[in-house]
Order: sequence, then C-alpha cells, then structure tokens
Amino acid sequence: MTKQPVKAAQPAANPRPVSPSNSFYALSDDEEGDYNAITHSSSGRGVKLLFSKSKVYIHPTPSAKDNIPGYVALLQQKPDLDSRPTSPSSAAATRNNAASSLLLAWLPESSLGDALNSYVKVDLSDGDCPPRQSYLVPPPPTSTQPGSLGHYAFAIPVSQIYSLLVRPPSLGWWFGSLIINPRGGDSFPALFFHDSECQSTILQKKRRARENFDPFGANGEMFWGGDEVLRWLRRYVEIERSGAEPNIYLVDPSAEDQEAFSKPVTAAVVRRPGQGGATVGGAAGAGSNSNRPRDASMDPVTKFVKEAGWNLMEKFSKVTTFTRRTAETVIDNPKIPPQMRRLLKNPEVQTIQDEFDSARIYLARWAMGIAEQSEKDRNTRIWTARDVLEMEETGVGEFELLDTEIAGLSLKEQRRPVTLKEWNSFFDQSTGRLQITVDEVKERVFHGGLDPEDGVRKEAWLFLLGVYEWDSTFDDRKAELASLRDEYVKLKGAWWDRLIDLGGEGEEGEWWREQKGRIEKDVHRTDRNVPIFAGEDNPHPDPSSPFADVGTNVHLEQMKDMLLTYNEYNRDLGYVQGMSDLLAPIYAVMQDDAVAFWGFQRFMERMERNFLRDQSGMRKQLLTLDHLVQLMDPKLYLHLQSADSTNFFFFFRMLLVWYKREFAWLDILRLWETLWTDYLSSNFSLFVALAILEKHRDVIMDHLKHFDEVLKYVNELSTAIDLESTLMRAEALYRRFQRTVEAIDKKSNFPAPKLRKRNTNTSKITSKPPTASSATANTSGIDSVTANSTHNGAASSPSSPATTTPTQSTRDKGKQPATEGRNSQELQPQKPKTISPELRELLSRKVEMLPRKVVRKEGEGLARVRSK
Amino acid sequence: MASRGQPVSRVGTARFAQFKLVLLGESAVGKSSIVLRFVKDQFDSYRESTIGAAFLTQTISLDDHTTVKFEIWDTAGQERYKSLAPMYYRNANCAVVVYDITQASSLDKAKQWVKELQRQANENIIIALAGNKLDLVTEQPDKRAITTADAEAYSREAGLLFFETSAKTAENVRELFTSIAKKLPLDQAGPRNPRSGGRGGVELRPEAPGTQTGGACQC
Repeated sequence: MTKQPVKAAQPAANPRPVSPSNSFYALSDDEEGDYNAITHSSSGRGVKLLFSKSKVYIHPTPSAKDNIPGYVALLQQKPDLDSRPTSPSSAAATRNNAASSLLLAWLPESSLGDALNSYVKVDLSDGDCPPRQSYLVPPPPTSTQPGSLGHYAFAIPVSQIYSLLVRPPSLGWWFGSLIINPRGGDSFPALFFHDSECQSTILQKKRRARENFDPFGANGEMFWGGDEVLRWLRRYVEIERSGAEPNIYLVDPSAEDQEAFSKPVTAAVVRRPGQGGATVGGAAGAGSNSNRPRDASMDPVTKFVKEAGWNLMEKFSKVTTFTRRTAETVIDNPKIPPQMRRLLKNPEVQTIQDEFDSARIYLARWAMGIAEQSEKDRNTRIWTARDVLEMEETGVGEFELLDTEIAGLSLKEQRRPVTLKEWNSFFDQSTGRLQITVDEVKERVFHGGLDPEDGVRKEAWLFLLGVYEWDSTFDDRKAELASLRDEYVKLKGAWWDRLIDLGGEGEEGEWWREQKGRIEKDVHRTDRNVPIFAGEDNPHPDPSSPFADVGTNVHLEQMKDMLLTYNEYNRDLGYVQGMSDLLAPIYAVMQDDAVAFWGFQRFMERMERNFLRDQSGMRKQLLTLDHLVQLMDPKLYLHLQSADSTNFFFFFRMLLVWYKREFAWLDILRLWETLWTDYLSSNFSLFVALAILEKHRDVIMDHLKHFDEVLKYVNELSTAIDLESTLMRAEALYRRFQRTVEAIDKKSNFPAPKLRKRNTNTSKITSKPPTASSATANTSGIDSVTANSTHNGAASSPSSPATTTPTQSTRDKGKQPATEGRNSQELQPQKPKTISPELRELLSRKVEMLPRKVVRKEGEGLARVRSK
Repeated sequence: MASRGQPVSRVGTARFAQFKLVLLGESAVGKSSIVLRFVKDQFDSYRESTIGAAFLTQTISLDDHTTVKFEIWDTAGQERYKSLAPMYYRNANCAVVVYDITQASSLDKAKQWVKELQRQANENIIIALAGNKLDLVTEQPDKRAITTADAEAYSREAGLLFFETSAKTAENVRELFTSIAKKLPLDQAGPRNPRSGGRGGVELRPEAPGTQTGGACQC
C-alpha cells in the first residue's frame, strides 16, 4: 500500500456541515460533465444522490415497534467522481478527495419529504454504477459525531469514517447490521438491514439467483443489503478488511492501522481458528472470486447452513421426533427446536423457499428425513397398532392393520431378532434336525431378523442361502461343509495355474487379465469403510499390480480369490461389476473363504439374471415394478408417466445389488436375510421398492417433474431410508397386492359379482405364509379379467386398473381400509384389470433361476470367449 | 426429436445455458471421481463403482455474463453395462471420455467410445478426452503408459478437446469443463425457463439395439 491515508484530518467535533468542495475544486483536474447543479451544493441547494437503500432501520429500543425505517445513502457533494484520474500519480490524491466529498448518510423515511421520490428511484435503479441521470436531493445535515443532530439522522463525510463494523445476518441476530465508527468520537447507532422488506435487495437477490442459479455466492456467502454499502464505498475509497477482526472493515486505512489490525485479508479465504466446521466446500472459492476480498461473510453458523446446503437442517431433524411430510407445515409444529423455527422464519430462508425449486425439494426431503428419523425413534419403543396405522397414511389409502398378533405373538415380539439360542432351539439337540417347520423358521427370520451380535448369522445364513439343506442333520452338514471346502480348493487351483503365464496367450488370456484387473479394482473399492476391509498394512503380493503401492489386507486378498474363483466357476457369466457388493457381506459374516464362496455361489444363482449383457433380467424386474405400481397406486403411476419415469430405471441400482448402496451395512445384513427367506414372495425385493416409492410418493408427486429429478432424488435417498418401517410397509403392500389379485381372480371365476357387504370382523392373518394354492390357484390362463363396477370401484384415472381393495374376496383377510374419498370415484367407467404374468409371478415363493443357455448366450464369461 | 437441450437465456446482458454431459470410459478410470471433484470438490480414494447411473449438476460462470449449467450423467464403466449407454448419450450435448494414463488398454476403450459417439450420438456433440490419474505419474513418471503426445495427436485427429487430469489433485478438472462450456453453442437464444424449453433430455427408454423385450404387454 503506497497511499498515506489521512487520519483525523478534521476536528473531532464539528457541528457545522462540512463543506469540502473548495478544496476539491482546487485539486481536481476534472471539471467536465453536466453537473451544473453541483455548484449549488455548497450553498445547500442540492447534492447528488449516488446510491440509496431503503428499509434500513435504527432500533432505538429492543422493542420492534420503536424501530425507525430509513434510507442509507451515499451522496456526492461535488462533480463527477466517476471519471478516472488522468495520471496514475494523482490517483491517491483523487481518492482522498473523493472520500471527503462523499457523505454516507442515514435518514429516516419520514424526514425525506419531496426527496423521497429520488431516494426510491435511486434505490431501485438496478446496477453497479450510480444512475446516469443525476438525482439531486437536499443536502442532509452533516455530522461527524453521533447524536449531535438528534433524531438519529446523520451524514458523515466518508473521509471521516475510520472503520465499519459489519455483521451479516446470523441466526441469533437476524438482521445484518452496519456500525459506523468515525475517526473521532463515538460510533453511530447500528443500522439494521431489513432485507426482506427492501425491494432493491430482493431484486438484486433475484437477479443473482437467476444468473448464477444459486442464491449463495461463489464462496457460500449470501448476498445482503450491507454488501451493497461496502460495494458503493469501494468504488471511491480503499476498504480493507481487518485480518484480526474479520467483521471490521477499515476505510482508507493508514499503514499503521493495517499493521495494528494485522495483515489485510485479500485473496485468502478468511478462516478463523475454531471454525473448522464452517469451511465446507471451498471448491468454488478457487473460481472467479478468489482474487477479491471477501465481503462481510456470515457468522460460522449461518455460513455453515448456507454452505452445507441445508444439510444442517437435516441434522436438526435428527433431534426432533415429529412426523410431517412437508416443510411448509414444519414451522407450525410446536416441537420444533427454537433455532430451527428462527431459521425457517428467516426471510432469507423463505425467499429461497419461494424462489427455488431445488430448495423446495431439499426441504421436502429434509422433512422426509425427519419423518424417517421419527420412525427410527419409534422402533426403539413398543410398536402399537396405532403407530403402524399412523405410519401408513399413504396415497394407496390407509393400510389395513397388519394383524397385531401372529401365532400369538405381539408385533413387538414378532420383530424381536432371532438369537443363537432361539435358533438352536429350532433343532433337535442330538441329531441337529429341524424340529419345527421351515416356514416357521422363515417367519421368524422374515419378521425379526437375526441377532447381529451373537454369531447366529454364520449358521443361519447357510440355511437361508441353501448351502445347508433344511432337513439335514449335524453330520450331514459337517460332511457337506468338508466336501465344499475341498471343492473350493480345487476350483481355486484351476485358475492359479493361470497366474504363472498371466492368463496365457490370445483372447482367453486377454479376457482373464482384464477380469483379474477388474476384480482387483472393484475389491479395493468395496465396503472399505467396514472394518475388516479397511486396512492396508499388508504389502501387495503382486508388485506389478496397480495397487502395489497402497498395500492390501488379508480380507481383500480373499475377496479377490473368491471372485476370481467364481469367474472361473461360472464360465458362462464371469465376474461382473456389482458382484463384489454381493459377496462382501457374506464373507464378512462367514469370515471363511470357502464357506463364503459357496454362500455367494448360491446367492448368485438367483442374482444371475441381474448381470446379463442384454439386461433382460433387470428389465423384467423393472417392468414388473411398473405393473405393480400401476395396479397398486395408479395416481402415482400417472405422475411418473408424466415425468417420463415409468421405465423405473431409477430403481436399477437398488434391484441390481439388492439395495446394497441404499442401506447401511448392518441394515443390509438384516434386509438380505429377510429377502432370502422368500417367506411371502421370492421377489419381495420389488415390494421393498414399492414401499420406498410409497413412502416418498408425496414428494415425488409434488416436486419431481422430470426423469432426471426423480433419478437424482431416488439416488440420493441412499443411506436415508429406515429399514424396519420399510419392511413393514412392504409386507403390508404385499398383503394388499395379494388380496387384490384374489379379488380380480374371483370375479373372473364368477363373472357377475354380487356386491358383498364388507366383513369387518373377518379372521385375522394366520401365521401361515400364503399357501401354494393362493399363489398358483388361478393361473389357469386367465390373466386379463374385466371387473365391472363395484360399489366403490376403482380410481378415476383412466389407466388405473385397480384400486380394488374395496372388493373383498370371500377369503377376506385383515380389515377393510378406510374408504373415504374413494366414493367420489365410483362412477368412473372401469377398464379391464390386468394381472400380468409378471405380477402373478410375484405371488410365487419359488426362486426363478435362469436356464443355462440364457446365461451362456447373454453372459460374457470364459465360455463366450472360447466359443468365438 | 424434441427441441434441443441448450436453452440460452438472456437476462439483461447475462446469459444462462444448460447442457447435458455424459461421462464414458472403462471402469475404474475415475469418471465418478472427476465428477465428484468438479461438483463437490472432493476426492475419495475408495469411491465405490457406479451402478446404473448417477445424475449430478454443476453450474459454472464463464465470465461475468455467462453461466453454464451442466447436467451430468455419470455411467457405469464395465462393458457389461454398455447397452445402457445410448440412453445417456443419445441427447447429450457433450461427452467426456475418460481413460487412465497408467493403463494402456483404457485408451483403446476410450477410442471405441469416441467412435461410437461420433457414429451414434448427436452429430454436434462436443467430445473431450480426459487422461486421468495425472497425480500417479507426477509421483512416479515410469507409471505412465500413454504419452501426452500420443493422446494429443489422437485427439487432434479425432477432433476432441484433450486434457490430462487428476481428480485427486483437481488438476485440470475445472479447466476441462470450462473448455467444454466455451465450445458449446452459447449464442443460440432460447426460452428463459430451461424446463419449459423442451428438454432434449436423456431419453431413458430401456431399449438397446437388437434386444427388444417388447412393451408393457410382454407375454
């Protein structure tokens, strides 16, 4: 800094208006311009209004009703300061003069009189420069000391300002404020920027949002009225932000001022010690703004809110326990923490809410997060029937209560995890033979899951996966395991030979090397946050591996071996991305490579269809989901149709690896053991999908209008889904689906259905899983039936095949759902209701396995390479 | 096809344009990492493989007046998922084809993608080639498997933008996207609201060539 700013050039107390115009004329080499009016300024007839901003308040007392609205303004007492100095050497001098010819003023609205119009116009004249047209206003009474003029109004020559204390809007003190410290005397009263009332600030914000698509600046700070004042001043004088006290901005500081306040902060982003959490995402900081000093950045908390992009709100949600579906209603909730209420009431937040679709979605998701959390919280206490009922206020109508008792167990007891002790009690202690029915075991696992702590999974999973036969004895299992171990060693040996010549020559060698490389890459990025896969302390056995530098651990190496073995074992299919995700949990539970391999191999038998080259297996599942939503929630289906989303591709990842990426590790273990039971359907995973969709249907229908939005939203649900309630919802949906199909089938058997009075006291669901008959009884080739209107028939949408719930089958299970709101729809003509083969298959508990020839044709394993 | 997806709006002198970008390339070359760096300025050594597709957006300012929003489709790399790729590039305005400069074979895959894009995609598509993992060769120059000159020569020949990048250190990542933005047809006027202007859109009809599975009534 070469400039020598003048400090305290004026006497501290000067009651008379400062009139520096003469000295200005003496120094200025610039007399151009159409600024004739200015010659009168020293005689008090008019000063030029450069900038003004409305709704800047003085708060004389803590009571809001005493607040005085006014204008903060920058006024010029002399000719055009905008013109550049003619020679560089005179720049500093001109600037100093600029400082002394400018007045920074605050004037109450009530005092402006006829000049008000000019203040309004200048305020609204959008832009970075003073308006082209000169607006002359009466010179405000000037003072260099607060209070000397009474009534709070003041106007101080900019040269008399020593520093500005700038407080951007913050959580505890919502209005941003500015305090002017003159070179002599006391500070002026704080000016509070009521941005939400200030038309020009609102417009500015909108403009910025339009241009940047982001209400926040590149550094995450939010635009507010005080920024404007700093910007005005920067046009004419040097403003340095104090490095020691970032809220202080020095006006034309001297060298020693700068010293005293430590180095001026310019390019570097201000980071105060102990504020680490607030420095999220400096990403954009590397961009265009980095060479500008940061304007009054917000306090850490507010900044964090802004930078975290509402993540903080989601955090807040973690401490609340209420259920609301949208953020609009959140604010009315009495349980909301006060800081959150303040935040939501904040005009900034409301502005965003009004203006940005994305914020709307964020908020909606945030509200969903709260709902999700409250469900989790409820899981820690006893589930009551009422809880379930409350939970199920979805668009498909309220669910029937899941019967609160199955086999005499309460809901809570049903959902108690199966411990090793209980598991062992299922078996005869001397022979090891199962002494209850397989379905009874499956029911327990389906509803309760297995104890995550006591090691029961290690045993039980082998049954669920089919490594052990359900009717086996201790001895059978021991023998089976021994032979599987031998078999694994042999299989492994088969590809070990390849290691010698690195796969060998030709296409086969190339294929193998590629597969090996792919497996290695994938293993090194699979579940590395799970402790057993985290370490890297072993040196890599192969120095030529791309991972030779980073090291490995024994479990990663075992994972690679198992996948390479599988690649060799299933020559038709080979290794495909996603398989490592399916193996990791099995291996982590078994912690024995041979056993885990076979568990994985059995699992893959049903998952093979997900990994075909033509994606036919995935497509079939997505198509089935399409039919399912069409049947179960026609309104949602119509919406998805309008959003081009009925390909259900946004469930691709979830179905491919069974939600592996959507739930936390422990939840995956629970989910998979549930799915492995095939207790209700071998495609229960699709009901889980439906449950997730139903949970989010309001958000999807209200806010998501395009495929990419839906995909992004659903992708981002990852790790935010509550498993237990999802499973309950999925089960309820399954039961409802089953009844719907039965009802339709019934009609096809008895063409002109008589209206049945509803049985509200029908038998409860038994502990028995659906019998084979219910799954297959009506498959006699009639897949499409016409259901003529029933007493409170289907939904209004033309493509809605059925909200058939009202039509109960004679085997009515469960209670009638509430039907309010449905009767209005009963006059709609009915479309034929179709139970597609895909849907019918959902009732089956038999796991579908692909014929080998399909795998051979659409796999890309060794078999294919060899056949070339 | 509906109207193309690069609406440019003018607000005063400011321009706002929105483009679809697709990332393609062999698995584990760093596609998702490049996106993560560009969108969130983060890096994760253990980033899991992409399954299906991820959709992200990022907005950059080219200058004081020009803002470009990228709608980024990040795809899975393995050959097996190749049949899904046309869904993503079909209406893309630009593509980043990524290879790993320490893996010679990954450039071959990249070249295949470029060929496919030039044959199948939007004819005005802007393609950038990105040789990722530059940080690895900075530490150990002998790890480099593909010289800059070779890749550059190929890019010139094929008419591609070319950058060597490091998602890990952020080197050239922003530059990559900025240079794409600069090549995009920003001057075409369009409706103010990007949503209303007919979304060129990534068309997600799951149909790969030759693998028709029929419509909803597959029996």
